[in-house]
Formats: sequence, structure tokens, C-alpha cells
Amino acid sequence: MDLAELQELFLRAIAWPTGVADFLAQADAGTVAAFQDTFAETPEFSRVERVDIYAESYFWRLFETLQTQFAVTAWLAGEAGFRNLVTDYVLAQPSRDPDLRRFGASFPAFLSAHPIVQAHPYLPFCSEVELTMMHLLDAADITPLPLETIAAIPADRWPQLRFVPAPTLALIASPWPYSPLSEACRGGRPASEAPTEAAPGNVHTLIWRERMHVMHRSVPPSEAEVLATMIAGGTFEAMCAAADASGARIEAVAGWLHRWIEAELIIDCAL
Amino acid sequence: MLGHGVGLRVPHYKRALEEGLDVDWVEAISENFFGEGGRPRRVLERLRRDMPIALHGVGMGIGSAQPVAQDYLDRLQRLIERVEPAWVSDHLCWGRASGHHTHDLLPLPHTEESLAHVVGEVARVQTILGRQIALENVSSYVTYRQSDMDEWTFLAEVAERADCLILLDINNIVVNAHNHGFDPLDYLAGVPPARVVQLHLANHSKRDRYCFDDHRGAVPAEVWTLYEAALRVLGPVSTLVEWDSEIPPWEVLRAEQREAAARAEAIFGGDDGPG
Repeated sequence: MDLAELQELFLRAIAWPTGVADFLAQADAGTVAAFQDTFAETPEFSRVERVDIYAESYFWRLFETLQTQFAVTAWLAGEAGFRNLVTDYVLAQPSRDPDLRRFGASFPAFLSAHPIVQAHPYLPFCSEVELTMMHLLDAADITPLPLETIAAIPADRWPQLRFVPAPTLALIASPWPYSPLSEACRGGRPASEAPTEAAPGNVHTLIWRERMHVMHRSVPPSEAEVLATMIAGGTFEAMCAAADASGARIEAVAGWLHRWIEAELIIDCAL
Repeated sequence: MLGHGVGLRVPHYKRALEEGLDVDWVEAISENFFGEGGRPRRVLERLRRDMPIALHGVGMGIGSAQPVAQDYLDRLQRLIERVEPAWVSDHLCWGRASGHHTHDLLPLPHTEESLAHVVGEVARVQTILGRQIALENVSSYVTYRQSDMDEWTFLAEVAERADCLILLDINNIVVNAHNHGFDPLDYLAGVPPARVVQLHLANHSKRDRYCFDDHRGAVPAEVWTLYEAALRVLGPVSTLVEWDSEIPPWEVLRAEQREAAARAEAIFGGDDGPG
């Protein structure tokens, strides 16, 4: 057996979902013989038990990574539900990147097609927010637009002004607001008391990085309409029209702009 | 000789940013800083102003039969250019097969075939990165029937033939000596002192029939004892304390770092550099 074959055998043994003994029980005679020829053992400590240490570590390392990165999702799925979910994910989508932090990159998409969503339809959205938060944590730094810059722009230029959103922000729409779920999770409440009732329409969750910290909040409908218009490249005039259409006062747009600039959501403005 | 440092971990980022860290140097896990910005990068920049930084990877898997991916080396190279680290290290192990990453530090068979493969990969990586790398001995729970040399002979041969450096983990020697039944002093005697640039100290757990390398808790007595023996064999070596599970407040970790420094000073007097 050469080095590549040895490593493939080792990997197959530790990636088997129910342990090394079960792996060998279903393996063909050649694989069992290769396993015995490869790993040494002592009378008091068998080769199966020794390789099992790596099998345990293999699963729990991946599990803990996802549990940390998707803390609210894990809390909502429940202990057994999340463990089963991760088992399925590890089997279906083993890690393809040397950076462990990227292991969960496909987790929200995987969740969307998983039967668990029948009982927990909010999990794909929740995991998408958490994945976005992880991406924003160490995304490239930005230079936020100073308030003074827009204060110096003459009033007659404002209608055609466009604001450039920071790449460190995301606006995600779904029937569930993420922030109350996160608050309940952090507050140590049981998941059965989580506010998982779907809203009649979409609500918006804003995720952004401000002074090195990743934040999130629910955005009221009018503000979300105007922010979405800005993100789509709309002019200030279009943003005011969006506010008007959503029933907000035009003056509110100036207040939101001020808040967004202070929160480092905007990096530039141009005519 | 950089003195005595600690492994940089997330719970200490706040202190690092606000006050700095009062140790001689730190070691950062390379992959945790592959991002282009944000708080992790700010922490490294802040610390780099004050002290040397070593980059320590956990994802290279240099002994994997599949070569180290160019994309991984590109990310590492960009980080190296930013940090200008004192050393770049990873582990003498394998970690991927069939394009599938285990994210573990899996032991290699100690054979001529493995040796030739690792030496070739180290040479390739060192050429791409334009610098020597250091390789760390890993803890293990299995041995291979085809191995035909001691772990320390394998480590020494890799270092000599590939012209790379050694990061000697004292805790891993203790763990492996227990798990595989050898004398840790034989290990120390088999390592070429001129290649050793760093020592790692950490704790392990004693389980039913084996020791498990979990870096949880303070450095235990047997690791301190072997550390002192290593210093007597190797001379002064830059040393680092790792603590990865149930990470304590900074003061507790720093006390471990000071203990490492005090034990070195007791052996060498004040001549072992900073710290």
C-alpha cells in the first residue's frame, strides 16, 4: 500500500458516520486486511479504538465549527436536530478547503433542501444571516464617507446624487426578523420560546460592520425600501420617491442617511 | 532567540487592541488571518508594532499525498507579506485525501516513501514562499506497521534533507511517549539542535488508556520537566505557551509564559535573551 492509498483508507475509516468498527463491518475483506496491515495495535489498546479517536475528532471538530458559526441556527434546531443536520452535511459536503472557517459556506443552501425546514422553515434564512456575519467579520477594510463631505454638497445637486454602499453591509429580506431570534438565544431562553412566528410580509435584517464589529438590526419597512433603493444604485431623488411610496415623510430620508453614514454603511457619493 | 510568548487567541484580541500584550512575542494561527481586513487584521497590525509574530498554520497538511494547493500558498504568502513574521510554521503531518480536508493533524508513516514525499513538498513550498519553514512534531494515537524508523529520526531526516527548521512541541513528545511507549529523552537526543527554532508548551488530558492532546489547562509538571531537559540539550530556544480549550484570562496565560521564562533563566542565568 502506498502513501496515497494509506491516506485514503484512513480517511474512509474516520469519515464513516458511525465509527471505525462499523466501517470495517461493512467493508470488503481486502479493506479489512489492509486496515489490519496498516495500523499497529497493542493488547490493551486495539487499532480500531486508536483510529476511532481520530473519527471522533473528525466529526466533533466540524460540528463545533458549525455550532460556533451558526449559533442561533443551532439553538433553533435543537441539540439533536442540529447534530443530525451536521451529520448529514458532513456526509454530503465534506470539507474542500484547507481553511476550516470556510466549511460552512454551503450550509445555508444545504439547509434549504433539508427535510428539517418542514418543522423549522426559518433555519435557511437564519443560517444565511450568520454566514453573512462571518464573511463581514474579516472582509476588506473600507473608508467610510465623512459626514462633512455630503454637508458640503450644494442643495441643487442632491436630486442626482448617488451613494455608494459599503461592501461590508447586507440587507436580507425574509418573513422572520433575525435580531429578536438572536436576542432570545443570547438571553438563554429555551428555543421553544423563540419568536419564530412568520410576519405577514417580508421583514428586513441589516447586517453591517461598524468599527470592526459586525452588527445586525431589523429595519422598518420604509427605511428598508429607501436603503434597498440606495443599494441598487438609485439617486437621492429615487430614494425620496421610494420613501414617499412607502408612506414615509421625505424628511426621514435625511435622518436615515445621517444614521447610515455614522454606521459606516456608505463609502462614497457621486453625481 | 525571541524569548517567551503565547499563542494568540480570540478572547485576548480586546486586550491586544486596547493595551497590547506584555509578552516577548506571539504566534498567530495563519488561517485565522487569511481575511483581508476587520478586527483580526487590526489585532495583528497592532501587535506587530510591538513585537515579533510567528505564523503557525494548521491547514497545510504537507505530508498529504496530494500536493499543497497553490491557492492556499497564495493566501499564506499574502499574509506573510503583511506580517513579516519571524517564522512560518506548520505541522509534519497529513490532512487531506481525495480532495477532502479532515482538518486534523494526522500522523505519517515513518518510511522512506513518506520521507521522500515530504522532503519534496517542503522544498516546493519553501521555493514558493521564498523562505524556510518550520515543521512541528504532532501528537498521535496510532502507529503504522510499515514504519521503519523512530518518529524523531523521521523528523530529523525531514529537517536535514529538506533544509527546513523544527518547531519542537514538548507536550506532543510527552503525549506520544505515553501513547507509544518510548523514552522522551531518546526523542530529545535524536533531534538536531541547530534546526530547532521554537518550543511549544501545553497541557493534555489523561484518558483511560491514552493521553489526548487538547491544550486544556495549565502546563503540567511532566511537560515542565521535559522542557527543562530540552533546554539543557538544545540550549536557549524561543518558547511559546499554547492554551486552546477553556482559554483563561490573560493574567493566567501570561503567568504560564513567565513560568517558562523563569525556568529558562534558572538554567541559563540572564543570557537567554528577552523575557
